[in-house]
Amino acid sequence: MNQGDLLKDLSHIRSLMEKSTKFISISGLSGILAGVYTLLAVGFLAQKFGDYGFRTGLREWISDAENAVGILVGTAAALLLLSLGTGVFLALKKASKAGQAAWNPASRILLASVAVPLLTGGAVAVMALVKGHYEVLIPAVLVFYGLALYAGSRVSFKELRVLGILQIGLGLLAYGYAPFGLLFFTLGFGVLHILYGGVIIKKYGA
Amino acid sequence: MDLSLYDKVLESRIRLQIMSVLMVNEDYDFNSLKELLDLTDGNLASNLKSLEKAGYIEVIKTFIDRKPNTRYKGTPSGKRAFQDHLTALEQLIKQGR
Repeated sequence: MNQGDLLKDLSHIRSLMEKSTKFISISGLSGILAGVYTLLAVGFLAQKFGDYGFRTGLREWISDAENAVGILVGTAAALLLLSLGTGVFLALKKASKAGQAAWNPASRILLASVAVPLLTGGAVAVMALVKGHYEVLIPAVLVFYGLALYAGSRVSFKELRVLGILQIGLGLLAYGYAPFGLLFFTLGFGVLHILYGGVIIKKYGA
Repeated sequence: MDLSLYDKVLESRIRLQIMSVLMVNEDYDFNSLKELLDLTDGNLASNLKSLEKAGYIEVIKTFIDRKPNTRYKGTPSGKRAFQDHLTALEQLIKQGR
């Protein structure tokens, strides 16, 4: 066996160890698109309710505007479905292009580790809405989403960890400065996603 | 040159690749290994068999929805052999320089 073969074997082993434990088919473009959807959704809400959401917070907004909860939940659900759908679609495409199975042990671990914080956050958000604790809504969404990213970063891009911590930080700030909840949401889900997608594309391509 | 760490079982590229996956994962199932390494059923199975015979991997047979699901796990002696073998390869490379 000659030098070149040995070195090639070793680098192949290194990439196998990485590929078998990490799911890196998450597309950077899906981050950018999720951010754009968020900006559109917030724009739609702002147009619907004027600058209420930014100035006085969700509580006044919801109690003043007609059918506010319905519009808010509808917009949030549409945003979630669209972002998730885009993310899954682009991940499948990226995986098949790389000749990798999208459903492998790494993606299973990724799904399991993000599911617990995400579902917990979803439950907290629903309870906050039902009980009328509107000021908890946006902070809870940001914090639990951040925790999910942090948990998932172990089996995916390490940059997800930073994104997760930033989302958690924004969530806590959103709770501290409750009237500006929607602003923090726009920063977290909109601006940070776009920045993150850009970093991933620049660093890893696509 | 000291070749005491060089391992004949891991001389095969495929077996070395299988062990490298089992070093960093708790366990790995047959089909995922097949896709990851891009091997045929027969080729993968025969290499897994020799690793099992050497005592380097442990076979866990379970059922998921009544379909058999075979998973593989590196044994402590298998992991030690892998590390030793890599050390031997490193020495080979250093010597060639």
